[in-house]
Amino acid sequence: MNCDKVQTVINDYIDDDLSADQTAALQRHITGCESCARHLELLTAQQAALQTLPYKALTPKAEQGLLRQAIKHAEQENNAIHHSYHHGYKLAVAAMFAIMVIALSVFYPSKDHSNAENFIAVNNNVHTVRVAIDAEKALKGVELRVDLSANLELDGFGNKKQISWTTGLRKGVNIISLPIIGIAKGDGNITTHIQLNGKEKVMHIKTHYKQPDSAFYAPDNVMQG
Amino acid sequence: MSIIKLFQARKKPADRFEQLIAPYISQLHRFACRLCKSADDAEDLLQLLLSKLFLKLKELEQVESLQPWLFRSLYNLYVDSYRKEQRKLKIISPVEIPDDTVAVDKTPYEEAELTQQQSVILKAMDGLNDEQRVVMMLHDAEGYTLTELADILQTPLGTLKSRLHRARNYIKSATDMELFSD
Repeated sequence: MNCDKVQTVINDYIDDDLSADQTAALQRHITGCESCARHLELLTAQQAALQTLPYKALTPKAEQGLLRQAIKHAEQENNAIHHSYHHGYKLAVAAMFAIMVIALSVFYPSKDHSNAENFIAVNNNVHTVRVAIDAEKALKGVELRVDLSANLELDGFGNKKQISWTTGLRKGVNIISLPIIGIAKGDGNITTHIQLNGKEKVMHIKTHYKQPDSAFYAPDNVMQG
Repeated sequence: MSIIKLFQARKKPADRFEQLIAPYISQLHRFACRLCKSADDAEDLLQLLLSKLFLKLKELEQVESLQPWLFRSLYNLYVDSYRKEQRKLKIISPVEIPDDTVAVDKTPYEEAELTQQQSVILKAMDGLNDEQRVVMMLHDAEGYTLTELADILQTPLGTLKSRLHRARNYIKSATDMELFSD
C-alpha cells in the first residue's frame, strides 16, 4: 500500500471498516512512513478529543419540568386552536402585526441617516409589532430600548414607558417582538433604539387608535425602514 | 380489548405521554445538545418536539420501535425549524428578557471543562457545513454507527461516510497541529 492509497482508506481504518488484508497492509505502511503515521495520529487524537466531549445532563427534576412544560404548552395550543373556531374574530385582530426592517449595516458607516418612520393601528387588544433587525454579522452587547408614548402599553410591563435590555444578535434577521396595547385614543409613538459601541439606529413607529371594525385595518401590515 | 389496554386507555393523556417518553428524555436531550450550538436552543428544540408529540399521542403509542423513531423526529424537527431559524431570525422579546439582563447564548459546554484540543476542534467545526458537523458530532463524539445514522438522518450510508471523511480531514487541516503533539 502506498501513501495515496492510505489517504483514501485511513478513515475506514479508524472506523474499523477495512478488510483484514487492507488493515494489515496499512499497518505495514504506517510502520515505515512517518508522514502517514502522523496523519493517523492526528485523526485518532481528534476523534479521542471528541469522544470525551463533556455533556451537561439535565437533572431528573429539570427533565420532568421540561416534559410537563411541553405538555402544558401543547394543551394551551390545542385549546387555542379549538377556541379560534368560536372566536375567530378576536384572534384575527390579535394576529395582525407590522414588521419593520432595520439593516444593521448602519453601525458601520455612522448614525443619522438611519431613522425611519412607519405607521400602525392599535386598539385595546394586544397587537404584536415586530421590528426586524438585519445584522450583517453576529453581535454581542447590543443595547435595545423601547420608548412608548403615554397612550400605549407593552403587555406585561404595566405603566412602564421605557424598557431597555442588552442582548446578542445573530447574523441575519433578528425579530424584536413587542406586544403593544393602546390604552387611550389618539396618536402615539413607539421608538426603538438599537445601540452598539456608541452608535445608534432609531426606528419611529407612529400609532393611531382605531376600533377593529375600521377599514383602516389591513392584515400583515409590512413596512420597511 | 385486554384489561391492561382498557386500564391504559383510562389514564390521563398527560400521564400516558409521560410514561411513554420519560425513559428517553436524557438521550434526546443529549442528542439535541450535539445538534444545536447552544444549550438553550437544545432545550427549546426538545420542548418543541415534546409538545408536537403530545398532540400525536395515539400515533406515538402505535410506534413499535420508539427510540430510533424519536431520534428521527428530533432530527427532522431540527432541520425543519431550528436550522432554518438559525439562518433566518432570532426572536427577541422584552417580555422574556427582563430589564437590564445581559442575554448571552450559552454553549452546551462549560468552557472550563473543555481541554485545549476540544476548544480548538469545536471552534474549527464552525467551518464545517451543518450536515458535516452533525455527522461528525453524532459519530465521532456520540458513537452512533454510520448505519444507525443512515436510519436516523434518512441519508444514504455512502453520503454520510463521505461527509464524515471530509469533515475529519478539514478539522485536521484547520486545527493547529502542534496541539496534538506529545
